[in-house]
Amino acid sequence: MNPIDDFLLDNVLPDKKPLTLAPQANLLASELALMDCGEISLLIPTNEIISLVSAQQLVAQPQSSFDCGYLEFEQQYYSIFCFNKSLQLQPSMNPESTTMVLFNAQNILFGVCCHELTKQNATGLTFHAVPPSMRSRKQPFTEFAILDNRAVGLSSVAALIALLRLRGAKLISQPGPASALLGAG
Amino acid sequence: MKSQIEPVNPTLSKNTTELGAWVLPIGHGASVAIGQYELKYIEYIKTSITLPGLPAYCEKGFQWRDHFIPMLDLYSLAERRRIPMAEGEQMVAIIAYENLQGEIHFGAIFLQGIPKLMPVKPQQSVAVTELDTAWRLLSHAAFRDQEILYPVLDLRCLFDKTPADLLVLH
Repeated sequence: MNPIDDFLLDNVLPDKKPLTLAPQANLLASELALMDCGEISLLIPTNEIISLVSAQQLVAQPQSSFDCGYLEFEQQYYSIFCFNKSLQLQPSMNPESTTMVLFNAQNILFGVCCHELTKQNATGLTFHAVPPSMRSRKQPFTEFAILDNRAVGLSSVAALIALLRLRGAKLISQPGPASALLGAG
Repeated sequence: MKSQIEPVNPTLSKNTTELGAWVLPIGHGASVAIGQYELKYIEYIKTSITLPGLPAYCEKGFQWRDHFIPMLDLYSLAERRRIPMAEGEQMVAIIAYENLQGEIHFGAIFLQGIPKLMPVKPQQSVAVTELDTAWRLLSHAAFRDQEILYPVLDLRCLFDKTPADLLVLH
């Protein structure tokens, strides 16, 4: 600790009110998966993930300006999306993306490209609330952990759907297998 | 915690009305001021953490004593353009402010030089409306020293608003 810190700690730090500590996240009952999308990283409950598919299986024919293609998996179609650092949707998959993570929430089927997906034990992580000055309604998380000097947002499939809708993607609930293709028209 | 400029020395203030303000260089010759007791620490930050989906001026923060501290690049905010941050250590002023709920929170302001503690007399005070437009809504006071006009930042306004709210205000 430098001399300025020593002085300030003893003389300046307000002691009337307790400092707000970083909140502990409500640790999820399920395990978390760390979805490394390159410029952004998210933690997703593993029980919300349907499957992982190699990026080579992407049919790179975007159905709108929001997705980067689609995938047929177990007789159902999944629109595939790719986020950049600004949480905008990319029209094509990054070359570094090797994996597509598939989700199904209330028959809304979609996938997100990522570089790598690994299991992550949440019990050792400290979660911080996103400070007001760093909040954006586009962020699919309100808490984050720091892993290897990178922020990792605690997210969910519902938060991803909200972000996709905010970005203009039209997500349609599919009643059965092989129904109409998802994505904005 | 008071948000106004504080006396430099409580004993001195009984006999004079001199106040104290920290002047923070934020880049390209621009400086802003905060109350003497609002500045808590000056730190060199080796590693910053970026959150996605944010304007450049507020996308970074850092871990410090078990806290995550949001950092603002005020020159980028005021001038609406990004200054590329130098590689390596970055100097920041860690400030404390009281939010609307009465909780004390920390924030940090990216520095381009060493802060200076400056005595300020009431007669140096000027109307906020004399400030450049960029600073009027981010400041709750202003003063002049040697022909230089300094905005006194409203830290709650800066750190307790979302970027969207702040940019609308700004």
